[in-house]
Amino acid sequence: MSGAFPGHEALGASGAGSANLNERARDATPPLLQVRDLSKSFGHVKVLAGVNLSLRKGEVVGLVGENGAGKSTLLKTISGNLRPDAGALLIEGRPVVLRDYGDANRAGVFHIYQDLALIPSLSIYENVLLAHEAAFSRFGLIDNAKMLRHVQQLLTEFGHERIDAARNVESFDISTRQVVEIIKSFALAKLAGIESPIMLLDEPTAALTADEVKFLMQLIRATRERAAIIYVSHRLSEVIEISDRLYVLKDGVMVAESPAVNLSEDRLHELMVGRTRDEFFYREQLQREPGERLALEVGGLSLAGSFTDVSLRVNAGEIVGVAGVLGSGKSELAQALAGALPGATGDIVIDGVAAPEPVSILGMSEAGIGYLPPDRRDGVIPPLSVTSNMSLARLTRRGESCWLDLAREKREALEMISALGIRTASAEAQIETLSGGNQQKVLLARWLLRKAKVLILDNPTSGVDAGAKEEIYAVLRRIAAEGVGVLLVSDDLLEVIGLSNRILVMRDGVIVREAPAPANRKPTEVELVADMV
Amino acid sequence: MQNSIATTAGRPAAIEARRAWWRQLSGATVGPWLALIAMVLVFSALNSRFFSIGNALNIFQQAAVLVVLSLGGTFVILMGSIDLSVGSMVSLAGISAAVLIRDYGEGAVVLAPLFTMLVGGIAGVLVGYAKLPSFLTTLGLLYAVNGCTLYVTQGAAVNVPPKLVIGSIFNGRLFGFPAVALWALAITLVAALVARRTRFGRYMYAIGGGETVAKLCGVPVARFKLYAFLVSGFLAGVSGVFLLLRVGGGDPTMGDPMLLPAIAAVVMGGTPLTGGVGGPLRTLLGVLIITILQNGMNLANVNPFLQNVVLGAGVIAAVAVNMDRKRLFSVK
Repeated sequence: MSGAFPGHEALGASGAGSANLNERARDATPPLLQVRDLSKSFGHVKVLAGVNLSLRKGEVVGLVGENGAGKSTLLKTISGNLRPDAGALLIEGRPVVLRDYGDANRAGVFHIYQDLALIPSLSIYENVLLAHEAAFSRFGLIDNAKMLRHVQQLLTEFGHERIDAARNVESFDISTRQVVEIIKSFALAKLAGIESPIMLLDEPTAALTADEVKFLMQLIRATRERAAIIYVSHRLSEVIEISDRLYVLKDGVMVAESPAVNLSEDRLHELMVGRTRDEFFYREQLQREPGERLALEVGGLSLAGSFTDVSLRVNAGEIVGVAGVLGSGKSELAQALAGALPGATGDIVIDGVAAPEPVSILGMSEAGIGYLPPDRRDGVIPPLSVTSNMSLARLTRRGESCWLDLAREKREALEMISALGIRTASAEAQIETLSGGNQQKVLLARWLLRKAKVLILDNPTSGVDAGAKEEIYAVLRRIAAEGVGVLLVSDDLLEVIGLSNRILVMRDGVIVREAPAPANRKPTEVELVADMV
Repeated sequence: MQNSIATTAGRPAAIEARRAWWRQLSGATVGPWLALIAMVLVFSALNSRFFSIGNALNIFQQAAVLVVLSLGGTFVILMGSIDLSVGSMVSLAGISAAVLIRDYGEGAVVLAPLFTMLVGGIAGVLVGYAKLPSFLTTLGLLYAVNGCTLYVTQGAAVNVPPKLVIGSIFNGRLFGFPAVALWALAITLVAALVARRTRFGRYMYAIGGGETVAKLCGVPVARFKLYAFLVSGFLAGVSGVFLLLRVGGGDPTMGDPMLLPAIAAVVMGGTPLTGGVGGPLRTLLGVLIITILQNGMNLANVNPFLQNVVLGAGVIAAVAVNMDRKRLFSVK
């Protein structure tokens, strides 16, 4: 059975439990990697709070959690890309301080990223030994033949002698590139005089086909005895299959640790989510029945490689949530509706009028769509003032004069600043001086000034603290009350549940479920997660 | 009760506003003024003739051609691109204006800026619509335009008659002030108005400050890039005509040495190559700095070759002061 960490009564009560970390630490040989009481904050957002984890040689440990639970932050801290605020990393029982990724490499830690960090135009051997050429140099000149021999020999050692290390990475398929990434960890560990590398695999299968996943699983099984692996994935069945033990991270806290054999997908869902939703936080008392008028109607919209046959409706004054994991196609759907992703086929009708063909950003915004991208850097123009940032979309309206009416611009900005409660020194302040939440409100104001009928919001509260989130939710309620339709795409499930009138669940590019979410009968996270993964 | 809330809420905002005002006094805004004042002090000490009305008017006259040229470059740099073909366009405009005057009379001179506008149009289409990087596109155009100018003239200079009506319009004095400087000032004010009060101007700042954002707001980015290069081409042509009238004869390479000063003036004035901030008035300041530097060094008998060393070092210093280190990316 599995065990609660000290202080995690919820899990103890639920019956899961096993030898806890402290007992493990008392074993004869120390684990290859130990993470002790690790904490990390960004601004005043606490991302990791006293996280513990251990990893032994030959072990594959799964790490699961919702988006934003802190998985990537934990991996980046282990690999030296982030410095922890508190806590310690121990490698073979000795505390280490990793100042950067190079330090981590020398200590035997390797981060294998979602999008493989290989340079396509360089050969395999050059990629594998990149930044470590000094070990193969004489009098400052690189001995390429020696490097090639070294890497080719390593490939042979792992049974991949058919891969020609002299060829460029771009000429190989993704499975081979995975092999190269893994071999790279071994090669660099060997150079550092380390026998067993610690490999951090961050969503390695997110972009893979079923066959490629199978290949990767075989690769992990073939190499695991010589390494120690932390495996992060949204595909829970895969994690359960490949891992010996699993850790569950929730809101920056390690809430569970358990041998994989004891876990089912359903049990993991419960552990991953299970946050309590604060109804007031999401202003659920302000949720209203949507109007009769259709603000947005999408019929049979498809985009190759992203989503298939998506049909949905958003009424005026309605907030429709879209939930789905990374790669479910929900972000691409939002972009396509904003006109930012060309090539989608299907019908888009906005307020009773078909979207103009061919689809363009200007065309869609002219038709009444406003879009908030997930990354605020794609939304704000840093050197410009709050006013200029706010009026930018309005200026592109058909029929606007090519002369600016600065007085009107200022008046409208001041109205929005007071209506949405935007905290800024003045309307002329540079937008960079505002907090993230207030910047986000400026971007909402931008589309309100353009008289958008439908707002497509992709993670509108990412990277803002709880207080600012609450304010944005209040603003969204007001916007809906004024008859704007809102399509809310978010990785924050509680946000989707709390704000939405209806929820669409996307998986692998298809809407697999539509769940009503009236204020008095909200679905639970567990119900939705079951359809997401 | 509500009053007390209002006052306590109001106070931090006021403090915030004052801090924001101080924060705006960055190296980019204060630096050029400090440089200007320092140069005036140094050159006045070195040569008593420097600090005189006669020399000031001289400086304004010398600055006029460069101001007009740099203003066009300002819009292109504001939106985060660069136009390296401006010097060659001055040569093209100067020589075509000379040929037009010789063959068709004075009135035909208005065609010269249209030729350079065409060159700007080519750059704009390639950068805006074909999405080529502006640096290499305009570098290529620089070469091509130079080649065309030399081919058409066979490398020979073209003289213009000494007594021209337009010559007197630009070269004469108005209320004792050099007319060409007044023209340049008028163009500067129009450019400043365009930058601040038109949609075109606002889009330049928006594209330079965040091209993706501008695109997502519905700004037709490609079209406005084309416009910026058209403006740059047109103003380079006007500046070429001014130069022709000042020197009295067209030479196929007359504008080529103006490339560096033109871009340097924009950067020294406080419009960084990353775009998004700055503007025409700052460029005016930058041109004055460069012109005073050249004028002062001449009066102080600095070796002309060494003058280039000083100018080059000044440009690098200006870039170092102006660069927005938060937004480091290469010029597109």
